[in-house]
Amino acid sequence: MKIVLVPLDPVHDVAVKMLNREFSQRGHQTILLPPDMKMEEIIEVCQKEIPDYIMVSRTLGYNAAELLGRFIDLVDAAGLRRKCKVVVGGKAITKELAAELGYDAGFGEKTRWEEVVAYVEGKELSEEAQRIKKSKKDITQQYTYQIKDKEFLGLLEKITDQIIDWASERTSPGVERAKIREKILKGENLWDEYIKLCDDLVKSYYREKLVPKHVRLITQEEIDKLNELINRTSFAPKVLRHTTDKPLVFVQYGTGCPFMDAMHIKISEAWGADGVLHFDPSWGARCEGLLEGLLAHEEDGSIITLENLKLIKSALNDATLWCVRAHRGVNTPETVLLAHEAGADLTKINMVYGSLNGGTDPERLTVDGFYSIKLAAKYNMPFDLPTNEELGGVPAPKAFAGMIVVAYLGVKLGARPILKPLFCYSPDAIINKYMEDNYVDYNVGKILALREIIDAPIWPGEPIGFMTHTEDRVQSAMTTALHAALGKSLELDAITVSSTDEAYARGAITTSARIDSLRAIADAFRFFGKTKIEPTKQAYEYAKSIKDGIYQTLKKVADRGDFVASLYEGLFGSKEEGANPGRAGRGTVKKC
Amino acid sequence: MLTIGILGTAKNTGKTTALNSVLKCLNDKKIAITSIGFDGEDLDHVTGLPKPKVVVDEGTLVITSEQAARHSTAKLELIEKLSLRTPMGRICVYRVKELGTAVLVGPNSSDDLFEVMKRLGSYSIDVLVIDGAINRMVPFQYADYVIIATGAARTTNLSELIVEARLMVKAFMLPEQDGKDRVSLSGVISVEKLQSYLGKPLLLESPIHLILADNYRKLEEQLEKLDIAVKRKPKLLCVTVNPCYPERRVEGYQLSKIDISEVVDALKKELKVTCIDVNKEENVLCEVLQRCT
Repeated sequence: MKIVLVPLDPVHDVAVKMLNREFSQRGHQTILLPPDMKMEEIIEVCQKEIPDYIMVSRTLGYNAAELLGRFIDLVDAAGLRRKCKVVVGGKAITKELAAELGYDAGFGEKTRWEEVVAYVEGKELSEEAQRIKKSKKDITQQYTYQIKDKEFLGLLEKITDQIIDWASERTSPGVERAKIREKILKGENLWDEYIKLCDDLVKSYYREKLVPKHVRLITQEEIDKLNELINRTSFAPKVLRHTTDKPLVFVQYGTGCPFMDAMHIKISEAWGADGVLHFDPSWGARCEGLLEGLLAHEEDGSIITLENLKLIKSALNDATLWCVRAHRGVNTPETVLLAHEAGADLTKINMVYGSLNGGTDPERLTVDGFYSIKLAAKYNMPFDLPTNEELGGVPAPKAFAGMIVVAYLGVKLGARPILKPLFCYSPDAIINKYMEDNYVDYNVGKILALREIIDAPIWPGEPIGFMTHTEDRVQSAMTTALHAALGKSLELDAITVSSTDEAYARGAITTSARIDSLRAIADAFRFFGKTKIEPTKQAYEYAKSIKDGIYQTLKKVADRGDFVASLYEGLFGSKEEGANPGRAGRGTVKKC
Repeated sequence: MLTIGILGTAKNTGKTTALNSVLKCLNDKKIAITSIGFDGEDLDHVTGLPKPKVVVDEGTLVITSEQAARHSTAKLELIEKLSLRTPMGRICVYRVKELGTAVLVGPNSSDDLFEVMKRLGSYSIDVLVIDGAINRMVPFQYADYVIIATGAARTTNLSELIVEARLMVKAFMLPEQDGKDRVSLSGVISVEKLQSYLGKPLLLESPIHLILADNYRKLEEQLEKLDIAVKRKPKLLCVTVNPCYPERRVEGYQLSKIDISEVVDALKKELKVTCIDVNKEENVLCEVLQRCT
């Protein structure tokens, strides 16, 4: 083919130069014109050459439409339209605009060379090549969960053996409800038995149809509208990562309204999120028993019911990973059960965080968590272990010790745990000046320490950059993106990111703020590619002291010989450090 | 079949508004409609401002692309698929079964438009109305009549607007081939090219080939000195002037309006051509159309 390449622009000719290279390499004859030529001169060249294609490049401003319109008129007046195909390309060009301008084809932003080449060579680009394919990835697959240090192994064996022995002979209303619900799901009518084990709020919902305050039933009309909206939503799959496979990017939702959640999920998917995490209301964790039906809630957190979860599931793309949080509260086992029933890929269980910062009684949550982990293993659902007690002031080594105990317990019960250290500017780091110079070293130290102890997937959250965000959205997007880049540099498996208004939304967060973060992260990944962020020597010192701190904590807990007592007595974080053993469900544990 | 083209001097000069008026004026005729670009979209492809819709009545033939037809609210019945292509798919002939809006993406070059005109000869149509696109006009060289749509969207400098409109009108008033021995110039005509033929009688393809030149003041000077005839020309029905224009603001475009009466008055006075404010004087347009059809 003979192609005349025209930069119809005062200066910009990068695109045509690159096309020139591509076409010449493929054996086409090209004539590359310089920028800023008079249109009449360009027409003269085309009349002399009679090319098969005239390719015009222009970044569109308002008058550029008239300019491109005049150019096509000149080509027409010169009698060239029958002989040459005329193509326009540029950032603002769309198929519609190309049609309006009267060109034979138009190529806009994000066009790949293959598409232009395929057009010129008359080849159909296969759907396969055109489309980015996203699929679900199991981030736990490549890990052995081997404890790398023998001294740690000894302590962890001792602690987890004690938990297993202790918890195996105990039960709670939470565990019993999960057992009943499992049978209900199989078709047995055991609601009366179920309701007996619930708090008054839930009892009156089932028996007297009394809906809790700030909660309302969703109408069929609303459901139909949502389904219609979801069906109308379509977008090309987008991948945030540039040249690396890691990390997956998760966002968290829980606006209280399943519809708003669904739209937040669609927006996040459209801008490249790989997965989403369901957050329930805090009261739902303290109230024995779960409601049923499609329910909206006027406050933070979306109510866990099987129907709500299924509605959200219906909005998810096939490739989107879905985690339902179950880690805290008195409904943990049942939440894992319903999450599985609704089709969740992952769940979240950590009785140390849940009882020290989540408000549930340590004894109760140990029994419930133990059963929940067994359910997660049974359903083949990996579970993640948040360590957000660090935000309350608990030093990272103590929070990590708790996480590793539960992780190792999970491994022993046949489950696949995921470690969730925080990438944050924690109170402990502030007080001890771990982050005076930079936000890199201490976060790197955390990861290095964990990797020296166990071969397990690592997923910082929720969310990364906690305590580094401000009310300024640009600043928030920036700090999230930099923390994401650090996660990428460390080859971590996943990250959870916040919207740029998450910390200061004063109400439901906005979708545009979601997009802020995801866009910023995409550019951070593009900027760094495969390059690494180099920490200072201090990171290795931190890693050493964090590892040592974890060891000291585990040793104390092992020596104490009682996991639950260790939680009450502050071995995983004291009251002074911000760890407060919760009270919800206290005194409800029974021996089997 | 008569063909009437609506030729604009820029985006947003009121082509679609004029088109809708023409359709209303001709509602007793058998009409076919198409566009040489893209028409009937909700929002402007450049400014994002809302655009007037093209409304088509039952029985009207619509010549548009497959993808554009799908975005029309009028019920369209496929009559014939043509061999012509656009970036929005193949061009087809549809008949309106039920009134509604139409999105028009039609033949985008002189040759393709000519092809469509030939094809429509076999349908019993009174008038084919062709909407223009942006400032493109060359495809109209084969039309019987044109309406020039200009206005503040082209430029808010009124004296410039007058010079340009005046030149266009003068070009359309050039005589057709008269048997005189003339130098025939084909293709694109630049001011420089004309300069070199000073003193010789010239024959151009159409007035549109002349007004493609970009230096209108110089061109107007040359028109005074040169003896030019054209091989073919659409007759100029009238000039419509639109006072509204998209004004660039920091936050995006906004629709603004200026007093355009100066231009209307100047054109009426200086040239014997019907000149109307597109928003106000639909009846005048109807009278003009009545006379030619």
